[in-house]
Amino acid sequence: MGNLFDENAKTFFKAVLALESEDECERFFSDICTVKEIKDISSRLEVAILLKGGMVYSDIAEKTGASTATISRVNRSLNYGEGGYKAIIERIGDKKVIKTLKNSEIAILKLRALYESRGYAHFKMSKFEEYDIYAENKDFLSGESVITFTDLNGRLMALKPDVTMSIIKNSADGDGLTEKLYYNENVYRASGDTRQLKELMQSGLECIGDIDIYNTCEVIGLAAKSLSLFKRSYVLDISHMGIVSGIIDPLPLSDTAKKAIIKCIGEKNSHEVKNILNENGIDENNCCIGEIIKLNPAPEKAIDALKNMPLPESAAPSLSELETVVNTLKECGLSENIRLDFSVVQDMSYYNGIVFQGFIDGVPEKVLSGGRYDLLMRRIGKAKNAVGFGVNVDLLESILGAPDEFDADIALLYNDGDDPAELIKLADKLSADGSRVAVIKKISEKLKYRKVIKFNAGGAEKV
Amino acid sequence: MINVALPKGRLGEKVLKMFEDAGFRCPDIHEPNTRRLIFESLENGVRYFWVKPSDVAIYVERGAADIGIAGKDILLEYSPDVYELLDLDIGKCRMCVAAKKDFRNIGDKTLKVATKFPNIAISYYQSKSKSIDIIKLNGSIELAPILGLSDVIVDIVETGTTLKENDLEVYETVVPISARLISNKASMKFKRDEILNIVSKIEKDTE
Repeated sequence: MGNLFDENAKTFFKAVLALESEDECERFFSDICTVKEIKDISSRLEVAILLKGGMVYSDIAEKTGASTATISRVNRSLNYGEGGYKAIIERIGDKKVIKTLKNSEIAILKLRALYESRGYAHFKMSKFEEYDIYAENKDFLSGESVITFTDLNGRLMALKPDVTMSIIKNSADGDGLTEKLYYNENVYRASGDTRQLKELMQSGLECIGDIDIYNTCEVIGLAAKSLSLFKRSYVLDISHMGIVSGIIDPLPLSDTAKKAIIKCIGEKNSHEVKNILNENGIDENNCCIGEIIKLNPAPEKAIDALKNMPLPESAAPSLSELETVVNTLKECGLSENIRLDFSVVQDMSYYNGIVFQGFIDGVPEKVLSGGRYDLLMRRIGKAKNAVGFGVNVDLLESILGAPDEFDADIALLYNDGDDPAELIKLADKLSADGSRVAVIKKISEKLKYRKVIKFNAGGAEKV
Repeated sequence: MINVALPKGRLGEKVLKMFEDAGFRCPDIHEPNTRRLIFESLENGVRYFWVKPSDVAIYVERGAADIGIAGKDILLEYSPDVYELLDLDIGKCRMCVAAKKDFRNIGDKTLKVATKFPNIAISYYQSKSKSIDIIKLNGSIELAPILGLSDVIVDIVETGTTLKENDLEVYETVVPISARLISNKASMKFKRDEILNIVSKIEKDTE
């Protein structure tokens, strides 16, 4: 097919692809074509659309005024041509559907497509679950409480506050296998401060089973790609609980003091750490805590700095795992937005290995968080390991673009006694190009429409 | 441009001076009798605004301000999800338990505690396994023990003068308090260099 078109034609195609809006198309084609040329070409497309919609020749001829010779030529191209008509007609249909999607729905679809592209299977679950499992692992939900109610048999139930635990509970223990699942579900929580009940949309994935370095890199890579989908600058902070606990565990401190230190690391609070260490007679210069708080987060610099620190022996395997992950991500072209930051501290009784958090410019809090949670698996009685993350989709609303300023494209006004069949037909016609048509008797002052059309017995009248 | 939430009042004036001494001047803010709320200095890349001291943490946590200065008392009471980057070593005082001079801590009854800081009081007494009855007040805390509303109060003590005038005295210190420089977590990712520049210059001055 390539030989059919010369350089000029190719330039023309490039020009068509460069058109960005309907308005631009109108201006470009009215300059480049004669009125007749445009009419001829566009009537061919209309015929193709009607043919694909299953209309018969005679009806098409009557509706469009095209000759049967034209119609049969279009029909030949449609069925035996290069597939050009088909592809475009399908795309117009898709675009109509896509136009009606909200930005948050598109965000979820993009995330789904990303997770499915790595073979993660969709996990669908019930909204209600027995409360016991959450009661035992309350801290996993960091400070937010579970909404409970009793079912008709008097059992205490919970509105699902989290998806991860349900997925783990349902996972099968099998040798050498890994289960890969993703979800997008509403979860329900009561926020700690204002005591409000909240419904949140969460999207995420879990990789459960025999977790090796490949799985870890894959999950972190998908986390980075999830953040990159929103076309804004983003940062994925990575930390390793093994290094943090490797430093803190050997210190001669009470559990309360250790917890306080971990909290300080999470706050990048080096002055408080100093106080705690001094109170307990530990030399702050010897234990690396100040250094990991003030670590330069650029991945390679951070790894070099960590290698030069007098880290305890027990942290060595964690450091080498972290280094492998950093190198792998770098080779896959993902390292630009990766940072090493030990202020990512998740609860040590659930998370044990690599943990990470994602931020998108324009959202004031973390939108993604996850990590390696073998310890949660143990607490639920599973022998396997697991790594995963969740994205808080609701938080993305503020960056997903402004909502449409109109409530519908067209308001079709009618009067009492108008023929309903005619109204339906007209509404169908007006909405054929994907416009949103509201058929109403009176316009509410609170709603805005792009244009208003009055229905008359004889036809429609623009207002 | 870094948005800085300053606490209204005496502490805020001191903080502003620290920022200006460190090179982040903003002449507009010194206009007398101005009713403006936001003051910007393009060349120094800062935008200051005054907010109620107890609201600084909220502005920073929600990202309306990139950094702010809040007392440790506020941070302990509301535990906002922010980075605490620096102890400014000013606005120093103590969170104390105070009581009437003749108060005797009898262990066999529930202690009535009046305070503006219920979370701090609860976690302090929880760590001592003491059962308490919290009475949340919004001001004039010193009145509570005098009128018999509570046995003790948990409040901020700077010089102790107010306590003395009301015949109260410090019974225990809960935690020392000072002003802290806090930062929004996302701002720290996307404006890291600017924020660290401010922090390091102020840190140099405080040493």
